[in-house]
Amino acid sequence: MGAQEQLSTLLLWTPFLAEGFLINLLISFAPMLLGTLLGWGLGSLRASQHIRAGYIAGSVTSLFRNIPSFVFLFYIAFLTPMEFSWQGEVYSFPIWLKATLALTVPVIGFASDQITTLLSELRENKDNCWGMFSIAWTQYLLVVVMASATASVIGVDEIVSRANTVIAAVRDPSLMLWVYGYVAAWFLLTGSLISTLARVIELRYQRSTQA
Amino acid sequence: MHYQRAIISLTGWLIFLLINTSTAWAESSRLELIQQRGKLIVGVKADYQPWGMMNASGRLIGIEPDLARNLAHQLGVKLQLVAVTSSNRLQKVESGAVDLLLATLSDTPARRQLSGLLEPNYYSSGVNILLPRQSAITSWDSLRGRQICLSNGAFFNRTLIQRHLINPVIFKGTRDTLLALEAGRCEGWVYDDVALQRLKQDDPRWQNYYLPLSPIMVQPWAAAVSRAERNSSWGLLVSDIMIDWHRNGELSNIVAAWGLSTDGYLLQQQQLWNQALTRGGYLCSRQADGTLPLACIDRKLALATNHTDLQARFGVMLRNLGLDFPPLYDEFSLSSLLEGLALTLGISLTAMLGGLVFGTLIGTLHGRGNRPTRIVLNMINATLRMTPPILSLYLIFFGIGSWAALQLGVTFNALIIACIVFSLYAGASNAVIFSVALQTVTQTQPDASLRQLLPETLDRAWSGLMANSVNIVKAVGIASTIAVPEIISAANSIISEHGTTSVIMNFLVLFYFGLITLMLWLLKHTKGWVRRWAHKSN
Repeated sequence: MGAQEQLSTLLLWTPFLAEGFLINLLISFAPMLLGTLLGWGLGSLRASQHIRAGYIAGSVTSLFRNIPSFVFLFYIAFLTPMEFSWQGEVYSFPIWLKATLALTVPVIGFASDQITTLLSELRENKDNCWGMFSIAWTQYLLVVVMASATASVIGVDEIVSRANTVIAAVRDPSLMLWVYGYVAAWFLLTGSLISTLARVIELRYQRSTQA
Repeated sequence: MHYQRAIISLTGWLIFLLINTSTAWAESSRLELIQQRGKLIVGVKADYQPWGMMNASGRLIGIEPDLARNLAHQLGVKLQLVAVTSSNRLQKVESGAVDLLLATLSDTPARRQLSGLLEPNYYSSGVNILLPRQSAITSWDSLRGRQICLSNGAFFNRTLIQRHLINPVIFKGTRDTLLALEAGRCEGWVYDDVALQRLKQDDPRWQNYYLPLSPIMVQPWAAAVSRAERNSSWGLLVSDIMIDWHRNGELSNIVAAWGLSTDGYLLQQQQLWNQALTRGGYLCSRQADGTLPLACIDRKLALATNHTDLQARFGVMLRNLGLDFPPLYDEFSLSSLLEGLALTLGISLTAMLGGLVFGTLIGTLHGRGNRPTRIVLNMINATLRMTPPILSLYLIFFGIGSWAALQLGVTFNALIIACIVFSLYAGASNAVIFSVALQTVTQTQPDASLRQLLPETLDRAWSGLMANSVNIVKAVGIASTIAVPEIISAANSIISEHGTTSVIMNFLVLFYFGLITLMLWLLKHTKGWVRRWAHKSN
């Protein structure tokens, strides 16, 4: 396959890969929102005056913080039912939802830690605690987007999984490097956008501190 | 305080486990479920021509999809095909993800313990080895000590490792194994005879590979439902339909339509199931107790199902106690688990150290460098940090690896690739932290030499560097995707052989929880050492 042919093959499969990337974004943003909400609850318990409740919340946090999401992917994929029936109707448990749950776990641990810090800083009337929180949150989003690529191992139809499908369908070993490189470029672009966002927040925060 | 917290976490986990196992999915009859949802879900292979494969538009086609369609038609429901692999198929049917497996599954006594394999069998094949033209392998006895490719989850892998004493290189799917063989990572590929013959016939890339040996371990193939449903209305219904397939020649027709010969096993089965009794009816038909006559099914397998040796009986006892942990009674599982554990720790340590070295090096160059140097380093760093590690592994191992093998004749070692990828991934994040710390320290002491600044810089950067080190240990398991036999690979192999999903998965989670907790504790203490060292150096 010549370079031109390879390029046109990549273009041909681009819509298919792009659709997969939407799933990556879904299983990155959904865990960030869900995890932040749940982590907020744990964090406020830890920052509260209830010693016992704070202690338990701290233990739960360390449990969620210390288990890799990659292990949790397998755990949830293997041990949750595929379908459940409720009031005579059969519902299936979609695999992207399982991936979302697995990726939510480390976010809960992260958010709980961040919010504990945030709340205690707010109490001490420190400046710009919200700025620090937004920067950390945006940077963690990048981590979760990178982790969303691992969802392919449990069969989520995201971009890495689709890259493998493309390679299998085209059956040309010389194209493999290009397909993986092309997909890497998608992640690089998204990662750069997220980093730029974090940088913008950081600059605004510095300016408001100086003002 | 830290111990107590860990203990509370563990207790919480155990309570969760109890709830998890006690509310085990209570299922009404599978047949009812299928009719209720109006859809039959069948697991088939996607990489086994012509039994189950994907066409150019991504649809699953082949003999087994056709058989599944026939079955759905008889049930009057729609059909959904799900692609399964050799390593996950039993788990898919046991977990209820599919109603039925028609996935080139060889019938063995061990598998009958794990899953609801149905009688009668519907095909039969053996095991063969695919070799390049000038191979030193001339008999099954000459495999000893050689690097041989295997596919994860195949029932004969253990025999090859234990009896033929090969050096296994195990991959997940047919595609990855093909690439490995092509790249010279192994001297031959032991796989299903029918699949290998078909591959040679259909794919011109394989014309320089041969099957000079005669197949060993010839086994019949079985359809499977989950273990609990083997004798349920669902299992019996499928079994009856399969008997009809043999009798009316439907099975032979479908197999022949895909260009395979039906002379041997299938013809013999068709004759067997059509043998009539003088008083009417068939010689081979279901008996009053629901079983089939021994003369009509594989006698050896049927008898082996009820026979268990001492070790297996110990396993059954543990299973009844809810504690089915194969490494306790199976040496093969134990050694693969221990090897996985050692590898996980080894890769973790290498990646942590590699990440620290790479990070301080690039961080120093960046912190001390001029503007152009910084721009270049920023770009390299961003690329390393913003490529998901799983993609980097695929890209280097398969992408660059197959290119290097074809063009340069060099083969990559998966373990080394994994160590490099993780070191660079951690190192890129470390470099950012180290550079910022170095610049801050330089501002306070503009005239000091790099050597003088190093201790304080390390002290400043230490928490960040350690956080990255913990993160890289969490990512090490991803190496399982390029066949590094670390602990997650070992766990998956044990699950696909023994089917003890929940115990193994809980073990894995507890192992990682313990490892990360221990690491955090150790790393917290290193902070004090680094601080004291930094003060002493000043």
